[in-house]
Amino acid sequence: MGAPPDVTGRDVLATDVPSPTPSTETPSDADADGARSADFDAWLSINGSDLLRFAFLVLGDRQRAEDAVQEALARTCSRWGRVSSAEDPRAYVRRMVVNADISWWRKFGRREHPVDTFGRPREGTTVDDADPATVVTEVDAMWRLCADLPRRQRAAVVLRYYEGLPDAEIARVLGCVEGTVRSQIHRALATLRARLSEQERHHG
Amino acid sequence: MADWSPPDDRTADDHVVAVLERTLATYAGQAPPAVGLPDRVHRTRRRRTLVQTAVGTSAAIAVAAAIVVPMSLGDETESVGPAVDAPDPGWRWESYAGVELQVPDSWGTGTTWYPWCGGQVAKPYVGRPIGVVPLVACSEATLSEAGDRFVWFGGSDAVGTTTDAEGWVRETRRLGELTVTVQLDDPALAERILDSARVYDAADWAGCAADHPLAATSDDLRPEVPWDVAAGDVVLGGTVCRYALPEVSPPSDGMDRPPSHIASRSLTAEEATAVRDAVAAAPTGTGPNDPARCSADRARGDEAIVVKLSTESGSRELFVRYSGCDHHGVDDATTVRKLTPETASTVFDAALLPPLWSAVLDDVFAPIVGGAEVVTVPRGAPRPTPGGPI
Repeated sequence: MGAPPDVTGRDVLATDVPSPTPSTETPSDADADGARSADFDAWLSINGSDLLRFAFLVLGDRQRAEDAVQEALARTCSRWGRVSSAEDPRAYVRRMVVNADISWWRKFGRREHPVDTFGRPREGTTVDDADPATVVTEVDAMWRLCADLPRRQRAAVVLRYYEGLPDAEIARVLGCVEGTVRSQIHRALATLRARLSEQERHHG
Repeated sequence: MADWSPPDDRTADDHVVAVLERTLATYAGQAPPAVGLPDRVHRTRRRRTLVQTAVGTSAAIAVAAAIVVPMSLGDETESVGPAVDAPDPGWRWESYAGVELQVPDSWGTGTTWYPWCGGQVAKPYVGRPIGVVPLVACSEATLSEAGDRFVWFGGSDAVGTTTDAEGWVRETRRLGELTVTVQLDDPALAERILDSARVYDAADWAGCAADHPLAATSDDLRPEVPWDVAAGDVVLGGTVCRYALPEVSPPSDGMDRPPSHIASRSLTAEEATAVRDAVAAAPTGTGPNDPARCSADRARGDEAIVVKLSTESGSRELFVRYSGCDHHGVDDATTVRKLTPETASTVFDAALLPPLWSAVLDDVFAPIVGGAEVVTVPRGAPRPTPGGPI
């Protein structure tokens, strides 16, 4: 089992209190806010697509992915100065996406638009020289099996096998220790292996 | 039916990983585009601004009804939402004094050292060294003869493993300063529970620290950041953290006091909002109290609860006092409100209920269903298997 691991503490950051009226802002406050916003926008232009892809792969739904990323980025923008100096903002945003609370969305009256959840891949997406029909079937099956994984296992799998992050980075995103990351991935692969095998035997 | 096997000479794991990588790469192409994302983010941020005022040149314009005035927050911290570490499906987290582990969700909660002859335990349970045990002296018995299934935090067993011929196992491990003991007739389940155990300090699975300033004193202490629970702040989630207060006469054995955290509960946005509403609706002032029932140094009792609510203004705390005989109520550091049955029903669950309470709080706690308490049945009655139906 090894030495007892330490649990990473929660991420808590000071908030920037919004100014009640524009007229109370001093020119230096406005300049600082403008500079932070420009810096945030520049960072967002580079990282926005990656964050949306990550959110989609973890949440399995385009609308939820957009909502989760928008809310997470809005919060990140509000405390950009502290976030960008304290840690990797991508890890910060990813963590919020993984922990996104569906009930929170409902509180804000969001309407979830029905979309294909974990739907079939588009045609022509085979990527190697195996039998295209087999590849599409396996990919389709795997996508549906991923939907059944617990969210944190799914996030760990996406971070390793799509983002290619080392376990230490994954642990920072998920707010856990590396041992937990490996455990999550081990369980996910065991589940996927067993269910793929079961499906193949059923259709074989 | 043909057995499934991976193509060529690759191992099953390699094949699964290859398919997984291919799947993620394929579906990543279906992600929503980032076109217009900066504009949407800034619109979202503007929509979340809490205060809007309009001032005319010659006359004040009435402020809209739903105004919330941001307080001077100083150097406080904000939670970005409950950072809950979700357990495996069908399992739940249990934490105590700096050690947390997972158990099947069907297990109950009870008391460490519960004597096997004190009554047959009806279902597996998680024991904490807090509570009432029958004053009985049990004779020697094998594990299967005693037949209780449990995880104990802080038991007195030495580290090691005991088994018997009927397949029972009792194993104790030490994590930090605390021991964890599992006794089951399922060695694989016992191992899985023990393997899930880990230490925590700053935050357990729900976000509760192993210690809190509230637990460092039996004197009056208020939340660090004053706020107004009745102001209607939007609540996004929360955590309930139960702590032990210092003993009046601590043992003079020179040992450091163990971490004070007892148990946790994670609140969804709805549950946290219900807490806010129940507390806000309670009458002001402390109570119900019965100060004649205890001495002044025991007035605040053995334990207290910190409710941490994640609001759009930041993380806010409520101190809930319910132990001892006096100073009961809920404090947001601006106003103390009485502890009502409605408040208690939103804050407490089975793991958070105190083992004892003053009679003056009977009406507060009695309605709370204690479905997860240790339930004893006559010896010889059929018992369920671990994790099975109760």
